[in-house]
Amino acid sequence: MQKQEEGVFNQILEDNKTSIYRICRIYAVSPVEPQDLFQDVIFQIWKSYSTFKGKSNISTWIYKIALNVCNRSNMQFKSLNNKTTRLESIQFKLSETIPDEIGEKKFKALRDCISLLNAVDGSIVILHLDELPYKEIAAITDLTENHVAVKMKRIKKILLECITPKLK
Amino acid sequence: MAKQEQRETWQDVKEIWGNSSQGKKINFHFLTLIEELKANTSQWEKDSIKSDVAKIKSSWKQYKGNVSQWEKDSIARDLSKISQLLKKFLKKLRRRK
Repeated sequence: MQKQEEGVFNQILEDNKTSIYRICRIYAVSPVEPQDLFQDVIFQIWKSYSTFKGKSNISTWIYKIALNVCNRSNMQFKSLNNKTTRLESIQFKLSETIPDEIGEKKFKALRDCISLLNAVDGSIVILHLDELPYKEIAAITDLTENHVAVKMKRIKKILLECITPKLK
Repeated sequence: MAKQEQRETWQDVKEIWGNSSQGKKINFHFLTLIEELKANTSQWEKDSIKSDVAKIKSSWKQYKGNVSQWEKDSIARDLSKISQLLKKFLKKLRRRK
C-alpha cells in the first residue's frame, strides 16, 4: 500500500468508526467485547481493501464487512480459541458523555430484541436505524429494494412488540 | 398499540441506537496502525495454514479408516500396472539410445 493509499484508508476508518462501533456493540455478547469485534472488523477491512474495486459506495462495502464479521463473531471466537486480533494502535477511551444506568438498560433492551431476529432481519434493522436508504440496504443485504421495504414493516412490528414493555 | 404510541417508541429506539456509540472515544494511531496490521496479517495467515493442515490431518484419519480392502487392493493393482508400464517404457528408451 502506497502512502497516498494509506491516507485514503485512514480517512475511511476515521469516517466510519462510529457506525462500525455501534454495530459491534449490538452484536458483542460476553465474553466477546465490542472492542474485540471492532478490531476484527478493522483487520478484515484492511485485508480486503486491495480487492475493493470501487463498484459500490465505500460505506456500503464497510457495512457489509462489519455485519459479516459481527454476525459470525461467536463462531469465529470459538474456532480461534479465544484469540482475537489485538491492535495497540487502536485505543478506546471513556468519553465524557457516559450513558447513565437507564440509558444502558434501554440499550440492553434494544440489543436483546434485535438478537431475537434472524441474521438478515437483524442486519436490515441495524442499517435502517443507521439511517441508510432502502436502496443501500438492498445493496448490502443482496435483496431487492421492495423486499427490504416489506421486511422492514414486519421487523418494525416485531421489534416494537418486544421493546415497548421493556421501555415502560 | 396506538399509532401515536408506536411512533414515539420508534423514536425512542432511534435515540437509543444513536446514543449507543457515546460511551467510548476511539483513537487511531495511524503512524503505527498499518505496520501493525501488516504484522498481524502474516501471523493470521500462518495460523490459518496451521488450522487447515490440522483439519486435513483429522479428516484424513477418518477417511483412512473408511477405505475398504477392495479399494486398497484396487489401488495396489493400479500402482503395479503403472510401474510395470513405466519399466517397459524406460527399457525401450534405453534400447533406442
